[in-house]
Amino acid sequence: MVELISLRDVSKELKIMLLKELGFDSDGTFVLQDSGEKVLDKYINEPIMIDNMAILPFGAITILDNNPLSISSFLEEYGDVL
Amino acid sequence: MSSENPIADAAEGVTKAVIKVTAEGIKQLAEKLRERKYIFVEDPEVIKKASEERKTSEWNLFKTYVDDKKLRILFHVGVALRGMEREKGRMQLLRDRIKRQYGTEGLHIAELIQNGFFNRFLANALGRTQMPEQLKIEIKNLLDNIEKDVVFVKEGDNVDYLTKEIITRLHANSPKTFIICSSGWAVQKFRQIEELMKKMVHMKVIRYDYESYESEYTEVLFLNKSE
Repeated sequence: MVELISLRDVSKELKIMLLKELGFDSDGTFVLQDSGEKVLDKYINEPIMIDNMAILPFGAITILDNNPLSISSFLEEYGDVL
Repeated sequence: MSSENPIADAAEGVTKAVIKVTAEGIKQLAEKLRERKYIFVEDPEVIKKASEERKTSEWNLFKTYVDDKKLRILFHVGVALRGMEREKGRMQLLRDRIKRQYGTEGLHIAELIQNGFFNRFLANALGRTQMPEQLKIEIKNLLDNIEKDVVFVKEGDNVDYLTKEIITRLHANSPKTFIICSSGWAVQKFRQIEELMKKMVHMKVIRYDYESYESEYTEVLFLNKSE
């Protein structure tokens, strides 16, 4: 059973630590690749803001913008993960 | 204070001293994520709603007849738009994203779902079709030809111009079903067009039958080709 953990009230510092632990980074606003490039949401081709991200462990670790279009696209690709 | 769940601790407003301790816990959380036990998300409601919506009978019916992945995504975002009626800013942002990814056609398909017009279409089509394969084809035709065979009446539309355009389209394309729909303030314009179209049917200017449905905020007129 997958559990949803809210990041809403989590400090930016902790979010960045978590991203680094997962092999990503952040400039404080956007999610970055380890190389410093902005990570693009694969379904909407937009940079992902650290304050509106979803980190999903299916496929490789996938980071998306937390919006209905990206989430629905993800669920359509990976099925009902919850 | 426990540091087993540093994210939860942080959410409770713990001090920086504790956050330093929680740095240890980040590794555990990352591990749980890799083991597919956790999903981290800013607002869990978005994924919860999307997930719950995939268990509804509306979705089960839709997926029975529609295999196309793009159309299935548009169905889900249409339902999401429906839930944003009171959040105009969020709704516009989502509409813009749908349009960027799937064009005007994609946005119109999502609107068809959002306003419940697709469900009306299903009810209408079920009355005309007997075999599931036939219904599947009717749905595909509708969604593939949405720009040709569906008109969304807008508040600023010119009634005479739009009515003539609809008649031209009916004569040119001769679709099995043509749908005219409206919501909100556009309903007044819709009713004028509806009246004119019904006259055209009675005068046999177009060889179609009509069926109309209305709810509190939406109205839809189906023109079904006469057998």
